[in-house]
Amino acid sequence: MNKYLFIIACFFLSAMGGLAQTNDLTGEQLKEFQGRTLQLIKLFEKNISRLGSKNVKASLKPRIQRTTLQLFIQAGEPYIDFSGMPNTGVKMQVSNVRNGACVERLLKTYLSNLQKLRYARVEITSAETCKISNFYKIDDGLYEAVATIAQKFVGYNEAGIPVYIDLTHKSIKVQLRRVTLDGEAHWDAVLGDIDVLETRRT
Amino acid sequence: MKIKAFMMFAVLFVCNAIYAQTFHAVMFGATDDEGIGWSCKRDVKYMKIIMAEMAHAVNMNLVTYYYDGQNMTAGKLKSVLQNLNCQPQDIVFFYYTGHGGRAKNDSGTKFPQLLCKPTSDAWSDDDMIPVDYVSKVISQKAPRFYVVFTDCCNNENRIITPKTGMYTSKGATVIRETTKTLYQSLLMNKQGHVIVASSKPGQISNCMDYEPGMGMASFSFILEMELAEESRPDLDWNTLLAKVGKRTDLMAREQQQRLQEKVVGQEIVTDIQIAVVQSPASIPTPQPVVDKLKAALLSVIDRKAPDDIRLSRATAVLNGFFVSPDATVRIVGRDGNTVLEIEKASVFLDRIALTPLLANFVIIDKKEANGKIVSMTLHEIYTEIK
Repeated sequence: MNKYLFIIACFFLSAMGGLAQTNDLTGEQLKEFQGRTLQLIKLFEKNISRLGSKNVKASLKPRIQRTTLQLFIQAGEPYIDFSGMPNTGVKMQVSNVRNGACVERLLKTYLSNLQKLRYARVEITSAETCKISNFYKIDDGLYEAVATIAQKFVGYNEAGIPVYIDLTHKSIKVQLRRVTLDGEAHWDAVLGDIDVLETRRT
Repeated sequence: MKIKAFMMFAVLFVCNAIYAQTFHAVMFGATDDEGIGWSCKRDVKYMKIIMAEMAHAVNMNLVTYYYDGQNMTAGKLKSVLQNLNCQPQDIVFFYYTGHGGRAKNDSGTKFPQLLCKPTSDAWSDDDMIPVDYVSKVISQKAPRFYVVFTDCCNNENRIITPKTGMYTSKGATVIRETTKTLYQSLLMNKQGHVIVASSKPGQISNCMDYEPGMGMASFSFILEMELAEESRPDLDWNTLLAKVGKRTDLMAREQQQRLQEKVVGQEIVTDIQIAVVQSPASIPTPQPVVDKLKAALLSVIDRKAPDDIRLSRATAVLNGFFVSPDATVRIVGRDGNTVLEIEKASVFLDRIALTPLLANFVIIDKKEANGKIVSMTLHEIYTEIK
């Protein structure tokens, strides 16, 4: 609810002698994108739950997966990063509380694997409120922030007994990039690599 | 199959009338005017979002009557007001941004007359509609509460004639924005009217010559509402408008001084008549959603429907309303200008079908070809993010 800051900022900036035209975002615009990012992450968390659930029709899952990938850099496909280096696609770290292993997979692989879990029933829920840092300017046309989420995973056997439970805290890199689409330049908030911060039994 | 699916969907949402009291949002803006059109465009964009937020906050069905560009004429203003169909619990919010003025030595009213013409060249007295007329017609429609807010000059012009014989006084002009609590504080359980004109008789109204480039009174109103959200969400109209008046005058003086003009300030004038009433226990009046596109989009995000139904509705809306899956959808922030996302229609519809907490939309603009949408700009309204 700090939108008035934008107006106040405009008021004082202009009172100081007019606005220079820059590619930088105002504090209020960054707040807008922060709010936008929270909504994207909410959708991501919800779709993880949908893809893992045995109650969601299998025929819907490719569409849900496609929508989920659209939230990420280059929709999860290979891309060239801001420094000009090729990247094979957004990665997701996955941990296992049993053996402590933490492996990295392409996000699109992770989402596909979620739909093939061997448990009779799966529940993946958001355990805590998502938090997002402020956006910091990294380069011309690029801001970054980090969001943290917590997911609770419960796998049940045929008898309805939970046989695997963990609580994982993850960080999601968020990029705010200046892009041009059909000749129109605009800022685009996209999600990036997801790392495991901590995994524990509950 | 696609046609069948769309027909089924169309029947579904047309039959699904929304039962709610109505928030009538009437807005006229001189967006094509060479001199001030740039500022009016900003006012109009912002006010569209505010109107939708207000209606959403007080859980009322929003019906819009928006006239700008070449549609801003005296005939259309009279027609839309005279054809307003108000129920006793409805709210009407009238907003005007453009040129205004008053007759020389007209002491019959403190409110201005509104130039209802797309541009200010070659206008005549017939193009001038008094705020008092606007107020009178709305009051005759007997809504529970109405607001008239006009952001325009109120200085004398020889071409304009007094129209007090033609229109009796009493009107309401108000403008505001804010959080749910503040909107409810201002709108719920209130009966009567609020009229605000952005300058007193003899004064011009100023546009900001800097960002965000709005009319100063409109800007002050929005800013004071937002400040109140943080500190005093139970603010009343009298206190709010006193703050708006003070800020408008201060801004005008600062700008006039900076531009080395004669410093005269800008004082708003108001007419506030409000009675507190109990919450209506009456049965809400059924009102169909007038905007079919908006109704269709709301059906896509209807949380009462399961995922598969919402996604099938998304497909139906895509086929029924958009020229192709690649049609462009721009999502803008609350200022109506900051682009937060540009998506293809197919991506947009699937996203909103699956997005939690999305509660409403404000359609800012759309371009069509052969009756189908080529591009659209909208603002998304979410419920609280936890």
